[in-house]
Amino acid sequence: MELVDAIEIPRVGNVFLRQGPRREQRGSLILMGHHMIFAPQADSSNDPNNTANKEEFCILHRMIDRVVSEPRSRDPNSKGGILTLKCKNFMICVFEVLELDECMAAARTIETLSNLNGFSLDYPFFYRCPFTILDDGWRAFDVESEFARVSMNAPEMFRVSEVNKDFKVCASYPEKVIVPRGIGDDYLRISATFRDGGRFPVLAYFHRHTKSPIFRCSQPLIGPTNRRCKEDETILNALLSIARGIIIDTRSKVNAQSAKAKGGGAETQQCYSQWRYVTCGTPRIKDLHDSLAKMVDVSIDKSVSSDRWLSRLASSSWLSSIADYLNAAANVAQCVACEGTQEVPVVVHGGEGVDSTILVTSLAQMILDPDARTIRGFQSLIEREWICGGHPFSLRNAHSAFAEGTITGPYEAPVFLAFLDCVWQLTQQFQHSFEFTEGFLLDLFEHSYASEFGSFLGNNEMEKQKHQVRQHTVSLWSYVNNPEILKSYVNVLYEPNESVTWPSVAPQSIQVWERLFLRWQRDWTEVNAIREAAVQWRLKERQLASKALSLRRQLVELMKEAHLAKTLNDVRVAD
Amino acid sequence: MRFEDILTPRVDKVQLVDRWGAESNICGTVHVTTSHVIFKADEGSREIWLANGLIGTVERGSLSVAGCPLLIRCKHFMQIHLLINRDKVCQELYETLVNCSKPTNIESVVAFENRDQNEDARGWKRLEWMTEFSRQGVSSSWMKTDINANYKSCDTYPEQLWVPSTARTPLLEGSISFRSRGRFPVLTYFHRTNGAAIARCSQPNAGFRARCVEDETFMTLIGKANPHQEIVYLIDTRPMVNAMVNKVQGKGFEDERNYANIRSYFYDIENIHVMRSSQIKVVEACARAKTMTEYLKAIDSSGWLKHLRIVTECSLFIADSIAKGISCVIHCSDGWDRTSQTVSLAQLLLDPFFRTIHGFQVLIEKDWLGFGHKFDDRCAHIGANNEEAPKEISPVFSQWLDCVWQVWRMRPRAFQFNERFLIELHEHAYSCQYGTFLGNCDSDRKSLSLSTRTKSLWTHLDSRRDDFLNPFYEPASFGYLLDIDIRASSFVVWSGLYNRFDEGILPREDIYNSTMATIEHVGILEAHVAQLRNKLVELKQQLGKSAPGNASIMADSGHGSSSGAEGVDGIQSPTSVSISGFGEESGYCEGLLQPVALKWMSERDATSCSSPNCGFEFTSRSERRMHCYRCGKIFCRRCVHLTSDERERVCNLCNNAS
Repeated sequence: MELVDAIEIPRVGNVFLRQGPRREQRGSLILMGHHMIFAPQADSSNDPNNTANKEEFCILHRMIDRVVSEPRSRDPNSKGGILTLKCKNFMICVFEVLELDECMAAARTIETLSNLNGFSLDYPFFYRCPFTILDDGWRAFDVESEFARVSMNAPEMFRVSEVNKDFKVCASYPEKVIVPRGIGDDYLRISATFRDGGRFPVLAYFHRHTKSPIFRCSQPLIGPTNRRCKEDETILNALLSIARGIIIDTRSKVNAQSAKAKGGGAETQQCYSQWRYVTCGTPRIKDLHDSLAKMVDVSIDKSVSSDRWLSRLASSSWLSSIADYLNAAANVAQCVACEGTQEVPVVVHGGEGVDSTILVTSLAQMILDPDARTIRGFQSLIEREWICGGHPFSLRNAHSAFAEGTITGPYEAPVFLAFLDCVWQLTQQFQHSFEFTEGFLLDLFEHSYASEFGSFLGNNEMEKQKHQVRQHTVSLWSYVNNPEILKSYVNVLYEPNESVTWPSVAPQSIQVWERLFLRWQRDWTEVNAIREAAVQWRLKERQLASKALSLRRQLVELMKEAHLAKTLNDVRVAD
Repeated sequence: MRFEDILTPRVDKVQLVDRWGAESNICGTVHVTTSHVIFKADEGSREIWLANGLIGTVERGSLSVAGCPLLIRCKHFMQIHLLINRDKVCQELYETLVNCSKPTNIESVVAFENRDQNEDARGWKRLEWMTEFSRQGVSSSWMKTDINANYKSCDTYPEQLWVPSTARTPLLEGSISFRSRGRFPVLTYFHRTNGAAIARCSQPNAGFRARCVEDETFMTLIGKANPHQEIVYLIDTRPMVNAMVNKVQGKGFEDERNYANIRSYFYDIENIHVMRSSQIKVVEACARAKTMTEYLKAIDSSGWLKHLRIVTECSLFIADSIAKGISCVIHCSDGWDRTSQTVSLAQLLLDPFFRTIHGFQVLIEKDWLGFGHKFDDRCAHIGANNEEAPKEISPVFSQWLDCVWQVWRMRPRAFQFNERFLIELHEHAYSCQYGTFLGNCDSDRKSLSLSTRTKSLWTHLDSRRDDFLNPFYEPASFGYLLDIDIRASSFVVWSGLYNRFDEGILPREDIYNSTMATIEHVGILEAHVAQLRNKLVELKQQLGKSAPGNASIMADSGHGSSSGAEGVDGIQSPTSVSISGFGEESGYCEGLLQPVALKWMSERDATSCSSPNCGFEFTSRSERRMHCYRCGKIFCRRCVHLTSDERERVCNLCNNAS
């Protein structure tokens, strides 16, 4: 199919932007294969102060979550229509269109183009990179370099396995994974048959001081008949040295038990006697999706009364979900960093091991690992854990909070967004400990739903390879690491810090991420100005400090010189 | 506090229990003095000092194996859980603490023990009515009246009052007799720009039929005092229902038909009893709630945020009307609770002066202390033995501070003060350590001779002015604050206040504190760089390289402050500017210059004072961390002091080293 065929109407003239990313304005809509462009009308008023709004703005069709077109009024004689575009970043654009027919045609066009099946026609494949790529994001992070980082501190513990070559063992894993050193590929193959989706235990993180690793996998397929798998047990036991290990299940106890009837389940005490099994319940993805829908619904409601705001906030349970995830991650981090003096291996899994499992293991790394709190380290974490780790972005992020009806399925869930929200909570509690800004998190959120870059295309590495995403699209990291762009994401207030950022997970500490949920409702001048002022002071402090340092050095040099001159002089006098 | 009320001045082997169960109990000793209750750990440096006035309620549980539990809930939201070995000792301590918390006579509170004669009288003169009204630029259509000299007309008003200059004494007397407790409409704020004014009063004794021609005429005169608009908005801050109930009791509200020039508005601000139980619930939620759902439900059912929003909404309406040139008269029932809240918040929104540290104090002196908010009763300074006393307690002033904080949070750059200032004010409204918030009204304070017998809180705050500065204050950028967003989502729980003593819950790193430290450090570095430059020039001259060398230093300096390259460097990787740590690089100035720390310790790691002899643990986030200029480490207030030339703040170690 050609995208052009879907465009019923290429241009809708004389529309009125009633609500959107800027003030009300007249202009026209231009519909293209991947974008919708709003071009403001040439300004007739000649107001010289009104320069900001002369520029067009464009929205990727993929960014649009839901399209609604309706007649402007019930009066059959009025011809106009109203086109409402609800976007995946929670922005809502409302256009008044003169002709209802045009409005409907535009709506149908956008609806089709924003819901294309698959991603082979997506914008990243057509995007021409306007900058030269200095640092190719597709090559920046690979298993080998991660392995090198890990094995520096643990030379004999792990190895890189290519058991998943051509994705034969597990469709959602990358071809190379890090596994315990003493375990052969045959064991991994057998373990894969015992784990949901073939996701056998692989290394997620290794703590260089306590030597405790975090492994992740999917649930064991114990089933109603109580199957067991000796090879799987051997793999886990290979991680143990002295202390008992801990298995953390991200499902609630009830959910983990009921999974057994459907062929899944959880490790039993008999078969995994050297492991302690703990549940840290986090929401199911379906519930998380509903939660977001409710949360966004209450945030965009401008007239919500004080009586309803808090109760609707509570009933959305978005904040409790965030608290649950943070709590689970803090538990994992605590096992790794504190539990006794001996190393304590931790295995994390939920059901399929691609959602809350990844969220919890990656969030635990944000807490534990100072590297993950840098921009580069954070990219690496997302690339390793989320993109290569097989979080199904295409399925989960097909729609966000507004879509309903047949265009959505059971697979959408804002798991990655929940992760970003959790990270944001950390950055709020530690404003000087993260190298990136809030803006970086927000941009990641938008790119994960609709992007000109290929990083979040497909559900796993296998799909990426099949569609040659790495060959034909630009990685988001190539863009981010461009020095000009990178500057805008750097948190100048960052102070590198080796210590663990233990978050408070008490409900009193969890806040609404206002910049995310109230972004289009509120004015941010104040927040930006405060930030900017703090940044300016910090820069000034640094400049002065380095100035003082260089002056001190000059002074020391001069004093040496003076001393030398004096000595020479003394010698001469003595002569 | 009388000495004989202290049954047990000292209790040993008391265990301090961590409320969150995260840490193990700390064993120590409790000392009770006439001014403070002190817990001192046997080992380590943990100390808690609690001013007796801050003790709210004391509860004791039943004896168990662990000991006898005692819970002290404080008025500044600290909660102290103690375990005491013996039941009898616990009972004695319990009684002692109860005695401490409820002095029967206001003259036995701590403030009166401050017999320091060196009191700086400026604190007691924070508000001079005449000065303040001339600052406001009151026009000749208002005049001062002596009708309340010696508090003879209204015992809860100040002696000096301003009324329309056209109003004659009989008219005033008529209005006084028609208003509840004689609190007739008087000027509190004059808006110079357009001549509109805010007047405040109590409810009329209107009942269903009563009229008072003088009061009606008086209202017309208030209208006429405004050169542009004779209409006056009459704002009754109470819900309509409450106002109706008062009508039955012969009070109530003005009938628009009898007052030619008024438009009435009602706002649903609830009474002191509702606010009291609301705050108890919100504090309970902050202290206890374990899960997110539980917490949000509890906050919701407390209704606290809703109340804050209504108070703010009403104040915004007043401010907006004044900005539009319409005078407002505000009352509730007695005109000292809700009226004080809304009238003062409206002025804060209108006049940038009230957003300065000094102006804010003037505002409190004027609309809270001056016009008779009953601090003794509302804050329970004394535990009177009658049954009515508990019903008089209400967090009206706290609630107003909370509203101020909400506005502060929306427009932080408009305020000279920071959050710490509001928290400090909240504490001392209750602590009874200073005389400022004692007494129920102006005449009370005068008869207690507070200004000679006690210290003023303002003098204390003046001495710590640096602690309260907001690094982001932009004095010139903000006029009216009428565009604040008062949607429900804008009001949040002030955890800085309610969870003030829960170290673990508040953000570990705070941009206000760190930026304030940065600004201070920048000042020191600038002086240091200048000093270094001078020294360099001096040395070069000695070495006979004056001219060229000098030029190169100057050129260098030009780059230093403005060069873009250096800035970009800084942005790209903060790690690359590796400034040597504490104390290093000191060889440069052996005997030449005072050492100056290039890097300051970050507040994140500063949970306790860096002095090895002290090790004082900071008990709350809002406690100021002080850097030593020479070594850059963080100390508590006790371990640093100013050098004799007042140029440097140094720690004891650095001081001894020099």
